[in-house]
Amino acid sequence: MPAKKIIYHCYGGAHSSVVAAAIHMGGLQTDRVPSPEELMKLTLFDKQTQDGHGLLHFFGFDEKGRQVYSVGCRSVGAAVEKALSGVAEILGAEKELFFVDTLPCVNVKMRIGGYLSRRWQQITLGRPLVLQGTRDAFPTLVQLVAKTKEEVDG
Amino acid sequence: MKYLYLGLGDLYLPAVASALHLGLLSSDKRPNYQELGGLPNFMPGKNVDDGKLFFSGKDQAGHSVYILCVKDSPDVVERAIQSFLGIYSKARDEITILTCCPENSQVVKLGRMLKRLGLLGIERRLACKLAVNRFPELVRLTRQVQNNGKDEKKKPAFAAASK
Repeated sequence: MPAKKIIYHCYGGAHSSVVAAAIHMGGLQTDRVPSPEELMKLTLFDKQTQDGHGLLHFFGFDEKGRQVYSVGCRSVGAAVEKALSGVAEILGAEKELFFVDTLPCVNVKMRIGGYLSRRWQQITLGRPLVLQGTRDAFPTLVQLVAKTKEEVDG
Repeated sequence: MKYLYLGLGDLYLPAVASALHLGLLSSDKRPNYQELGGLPNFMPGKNVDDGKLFFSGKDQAGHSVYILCVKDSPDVVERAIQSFLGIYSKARDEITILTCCPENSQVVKLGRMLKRLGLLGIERRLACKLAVNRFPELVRLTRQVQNNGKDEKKKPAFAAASK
């Protein structure tokens, strides 16, 4: 049976979806909140640009051989889910996809910091704020990934 | 080959493009409002249908034609589909996405506002006006698609084998 594809998506594809995918792949320990340096080591963290929105980024295969991706969908996450599901159905692969919206985990600091850093390129102001916000949201993201792993094969 | 016509905010332009593709509309003259109203799926998009693929039919060559619309950022959806097709490398040659959006996205917002205010008759007339105005562009788009299809058939055998 073809491997499942788990697609974590958020607004900009630079913060919550990237961290969720990294947690899923074991790139971040789940028993403690990562340091800002550990978050900045993630390839895509706070580095995505607007013309990267929509591009699926492959993180690797998890412990059960499932493919893990992240993508930034701006405000059309639900539409992207439907469109990709429709295309997957054309290809006969509709059962392979599992979408996870990480936006519910995003807090105010991440929204403001992310906007300042990515949209307005005010990295000096935005990055420390988004890092702090991501660290605050980390336990929620861990829970989301755990729930995803339970549900994906269900 | 499968063709996906992607619109912004509503299915009006994708519906016209797919009708041209399928030969349901003549490309020689601009359609009137009655002809447009009779087209399948010539309708505003519902929120719940955002991103949903609607099957329009099969063209003369047996290729399937679909339409879809998104409320915003069609470039993101297009990129996501292209990126997704890249995972299935063979699929890149099998599915083509064609965007058919209005020149001015404010028209879409106006249409949405009219619909929300319950002025469906005016919204419909605006949609028909938009479709008629964009008709030459849609004809060009569908002719390009058909010409590309013919070029694929004309390619010599060694080019096909080297893919």
